[in-house]
Amino acid sequence: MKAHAELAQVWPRDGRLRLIGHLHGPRPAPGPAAHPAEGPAGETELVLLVALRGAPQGGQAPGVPGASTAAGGGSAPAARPGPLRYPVTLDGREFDAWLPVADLVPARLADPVTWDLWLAPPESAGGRPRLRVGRVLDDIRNKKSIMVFPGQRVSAGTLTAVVRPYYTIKDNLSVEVRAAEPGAAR
Amino acid sequence: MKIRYLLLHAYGMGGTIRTVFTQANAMAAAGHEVHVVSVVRRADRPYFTLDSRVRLSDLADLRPGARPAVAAGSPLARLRAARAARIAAGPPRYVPRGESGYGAFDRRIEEAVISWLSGLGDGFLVTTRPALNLLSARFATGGVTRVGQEHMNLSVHQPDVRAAIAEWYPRLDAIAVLTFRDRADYRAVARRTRVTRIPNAVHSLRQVPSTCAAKIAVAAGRLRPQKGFDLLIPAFKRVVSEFPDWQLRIFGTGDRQRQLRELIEQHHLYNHVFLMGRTDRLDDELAKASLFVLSSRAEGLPMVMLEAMSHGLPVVSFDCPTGPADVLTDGKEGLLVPPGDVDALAAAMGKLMADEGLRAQYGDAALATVQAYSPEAVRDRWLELFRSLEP
Repeated sequence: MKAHAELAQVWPRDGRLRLIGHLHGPRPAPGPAAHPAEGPAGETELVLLVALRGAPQGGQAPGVPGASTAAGGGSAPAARPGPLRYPVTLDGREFDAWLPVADLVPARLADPVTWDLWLAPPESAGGRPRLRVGRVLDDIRNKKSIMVFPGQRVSAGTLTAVVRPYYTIKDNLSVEVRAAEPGAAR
Repeated sequence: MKIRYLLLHAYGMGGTIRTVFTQANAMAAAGHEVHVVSVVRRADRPYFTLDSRVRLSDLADLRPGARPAVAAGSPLARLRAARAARIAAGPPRYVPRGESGYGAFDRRIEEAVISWLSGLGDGFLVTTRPALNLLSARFATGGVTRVGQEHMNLSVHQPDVRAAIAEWYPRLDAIAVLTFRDRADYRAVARRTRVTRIPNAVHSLRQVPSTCAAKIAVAAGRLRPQKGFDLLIPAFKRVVSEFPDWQLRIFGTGDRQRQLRELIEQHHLYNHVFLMGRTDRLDDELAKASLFVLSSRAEGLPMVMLEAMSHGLPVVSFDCPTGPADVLTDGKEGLLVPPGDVDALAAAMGKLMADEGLRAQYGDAALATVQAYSPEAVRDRWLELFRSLEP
């Protein structure tokens, strides 16, 4: 089985998406551009990489808020941004990371957008090599309809979006952002 | 012995169908002549496995394309045929409106049942729900020995069904019920009739035992208010902080799925409580678990609890009417708590989640207790009843 980031818990609440789990298989080696760990040991070895599906993955789009720093809290990304990066707390192989879900809401949202999630060395080019975040080691199949998470509503200007993590048919975790249905309360 | 079982829909997948098939298979294996008759037929093959020695037939084939063609002929004949068809499609005459199977009947189907019942001249007939028990009591008068099986508690039936039961069940040769409480209740309304308690059998006792080590609690049943999963979810919430690595898996489908999902989200239990949907492999799922929880508000005889026990699973259950206390002794195979008491249910789950040794001990006792519900043991009780009724 390919190395990946195995989820134990997914917490979509209080405006955040928090992910807790452990690394499975060999850890991704830092890319050639990597420098040694910058902060306290164990905190910058990996980042949570959140990439818009269908967007170019070759590098970061310059000037995209939220994509240029590891710290979250940026405003909504522009159209077709590069991946967003967030810090990951590592304790041995256990990981714990979170991001503000407002970061995932684009300025305009005609059609739903999907974000895919990885753990990757902070400086690796284009986020490779990287570990997909998912849950594949347990016995539950068809997680898409069994391990279901609530959406969180995010309002930005006149736009209200619902941000909902979900398991794909391959039991990887992705996040869907869609415009809230008018009048639908949560 | 010639034994006929009449089911509303032998091709479906309900609990009654499964237990009747288990009975029929055990009787056929003992060399008896067994015939399962389905009032309606909506599928090509039965969902559950029927022994090849058991004959299966239907009275009204409702599969698409199976309806008889409209009669041709003179205008008057067509008019007559149309009128007859209108009546045939009208409501049944004898099945009470409050019977939950009422909607499956029309006049034509009811007539087909009556016609079949009237032609039975020997052997035994077991009918399996009030509508069929009532029709048997009225119309199977040609010499067959009639046993009406009741899977439900009397108090659960609608008033019109209860009235019909009081009027017609005394004509049956015997009433077979599942629990002690049912025996007392049906005796009270059918004083002259023999009322015998014969529990349903589990479909097999040759099961993979649970190790009781995995941190998985399991529940199963229709997602309906009767099953009390809306009580189970808050009960699990009370123990999850102490046992964060435990899961609760609820198997089944039903019209309360959305409400239960909302309850899970409201309690932030989406990492711990899973609505698993329908499974064709409940046996495997039970074997993986370490604790079975029954949160029902009411039960007949909870078969899924017996199935869980056949895997050596300990049980935590509400002491609801009528089944659990018939099977379980509190502190032996599991823990019985006052019905509807969410705190007590949580405390009982917590006690077993904390103690693997206790789970194994209760699980062993559960496996011993469930031996009385083997297909062979239950078959022998039916044979005893039939022999005592033999003319």
